[in-house]
Amino acid sequence: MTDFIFYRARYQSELTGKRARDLPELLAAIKEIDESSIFNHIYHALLDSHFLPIGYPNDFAYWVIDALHEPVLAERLANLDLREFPDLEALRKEIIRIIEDYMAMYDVSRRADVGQEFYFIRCISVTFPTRYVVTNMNEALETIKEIDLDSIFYYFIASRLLGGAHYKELSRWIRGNNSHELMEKLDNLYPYGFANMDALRNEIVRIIEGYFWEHI
Amino acid sequence: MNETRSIWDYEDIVERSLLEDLELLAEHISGRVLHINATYSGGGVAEILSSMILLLKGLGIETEWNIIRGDDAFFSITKTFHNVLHGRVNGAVEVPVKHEPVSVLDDLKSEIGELTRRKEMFETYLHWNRINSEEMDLNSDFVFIHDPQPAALIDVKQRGKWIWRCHIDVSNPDPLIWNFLRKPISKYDASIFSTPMFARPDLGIRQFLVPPSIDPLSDKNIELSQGEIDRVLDKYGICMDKPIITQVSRFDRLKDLPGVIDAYKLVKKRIDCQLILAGGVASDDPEGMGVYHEVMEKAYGEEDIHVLLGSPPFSDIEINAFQRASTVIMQKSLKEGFGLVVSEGLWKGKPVIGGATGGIPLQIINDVTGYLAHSVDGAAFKIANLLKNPELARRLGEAGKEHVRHNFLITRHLKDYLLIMLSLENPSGTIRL
Repeated sequence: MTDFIFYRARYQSELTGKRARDLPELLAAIKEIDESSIFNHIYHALLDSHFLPIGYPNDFAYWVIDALHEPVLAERLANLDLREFPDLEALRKEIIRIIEDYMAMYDVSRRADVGQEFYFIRCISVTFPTRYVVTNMNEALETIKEIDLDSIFYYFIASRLLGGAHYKELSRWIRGNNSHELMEKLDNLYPYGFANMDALRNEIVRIIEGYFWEHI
Repeated sequence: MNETRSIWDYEDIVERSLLEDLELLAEHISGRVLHINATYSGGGVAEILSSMILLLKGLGIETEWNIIRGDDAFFSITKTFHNVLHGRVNGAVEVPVKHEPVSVLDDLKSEIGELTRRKEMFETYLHWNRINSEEMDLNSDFVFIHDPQPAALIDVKQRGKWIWRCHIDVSNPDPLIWNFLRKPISKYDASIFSTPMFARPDLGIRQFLVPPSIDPLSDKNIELSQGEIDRVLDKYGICMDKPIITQVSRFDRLKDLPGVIDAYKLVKKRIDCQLILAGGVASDDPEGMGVYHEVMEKAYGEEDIHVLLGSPPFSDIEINAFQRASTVIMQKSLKEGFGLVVSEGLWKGKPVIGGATGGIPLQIINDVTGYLAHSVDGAAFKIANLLKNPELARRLGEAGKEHVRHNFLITRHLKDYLLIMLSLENPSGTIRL
């Protein structure tokens, strides 16, 4: 049995130089920006929300209500069902569709005040091995119970979207421990519907413990 | 300076995983790191570097901190640069004094005089940067140059990654001065800005985003006992028998101290409370004492307004005590840089009411960590609301402290610098160590 090393990611924000003051400008930039900006504005906010709930789960929705005062569009953007998107390109297309549909139906001439522009920010991710090394599923469970929320976010959200290399490694390792069914359950886990990252961790622990009980 | 500080001193303050990561990331930084700014003491940049350098060394990274030297003319010029780069209220910028021409000839003479004066300014600036570049050991793997004063040191770059760390708002600068500085700054490998609003679109180099930070272990932010707080208040004749509203800021028009007094007076009609206005006068601000006298005049006859001029400046412990004794903290600026004093207030678990300018909205999330006020009436309404609802004040204060814990502490700042150094060595957007 091989050891499994848990990885973690830290993110650094980098300005893209793009900004928007109204919906047409927001839409034009969303069509052009790189995937890491989409990731940053949709998912990084999700990570932040575990300690500071501000009502809207992503930066686009928050800006649309806060700076443009367009509650209908903000709610649509907030309600994105992230399960439906296998990758960031698919998500980008859906955001574009939502905004274009809205623009076709409503007057969207409102502009944000000076100082309230939307600034597009990409994130550089740096992944590195943590000190958590496990040799069997019991140890993996104990580690998942105590590991920090950034690692949970990394494995179950970020890694799945940004190439997925580490998530695939986790998957291979769990399957290699004769736990195919467990991995299927984890694959089917929808990580976005939780109030916070702690709740996501609890669900992962519940799935693994449930699997152990079934197979003892 | 061989002193170091362990990141584990922050173990009770931030998540353990962050401290573990700092150690792991630092293991991948090889070589010497050099920071250069204008002063070892006074001002936010020196305050941050005082902690940052010790922590970098504590992580085992060879780190040096140098300051640029120059004569009075040089620092007067860099002060002018600072003022004209930093936009003023309503977007107008402060420009050097220019006499009104009385004829076409006078107009021409005036313009020639102005251009000559600027040419001399630029020559003096480059002259002192050249002298410093000859005297300093710039042979480092990572060189962080802070603000415009030492920016032209890049002209002698031999090796390493050079990063221009801009702490001021250059989004709306005097064009002539900016075009002069843009030339050297464009030679850097990357720049760092505190907020997206402060950045420039015309640099042509990578621009990272790194908000400034406070050190929870510094005298300004460390926990104080009630006895220590009482001693400071006693010294200034303040009794804690009624709720305290406090603004800590320089006596500067842009801090809108008259607006704070007006808001306080509106609240005072309904709720018995007191106001502390504590600050100093910047030595290079000719208007400062005038503003102080105007504030004194406006506060005349109001026995519950304590206008405190720090001369000599208040100690950091005194500032800390004023903030900790408060029920509500104000930062009602009309124009602000990042306004890190807001984070200082939030870190003490106090709700903060601030103007929606500069970096304040990044720190005050309206109705979550405090309130953004757009007028005297708005500020008064929010103050009264907080004084009448201790539970609301507690909730905002707690959220504010968490917001600062995750976003505006020195440990996060340190992590950002480590990530940027790693990013510059691996230009890909996803780096696997």
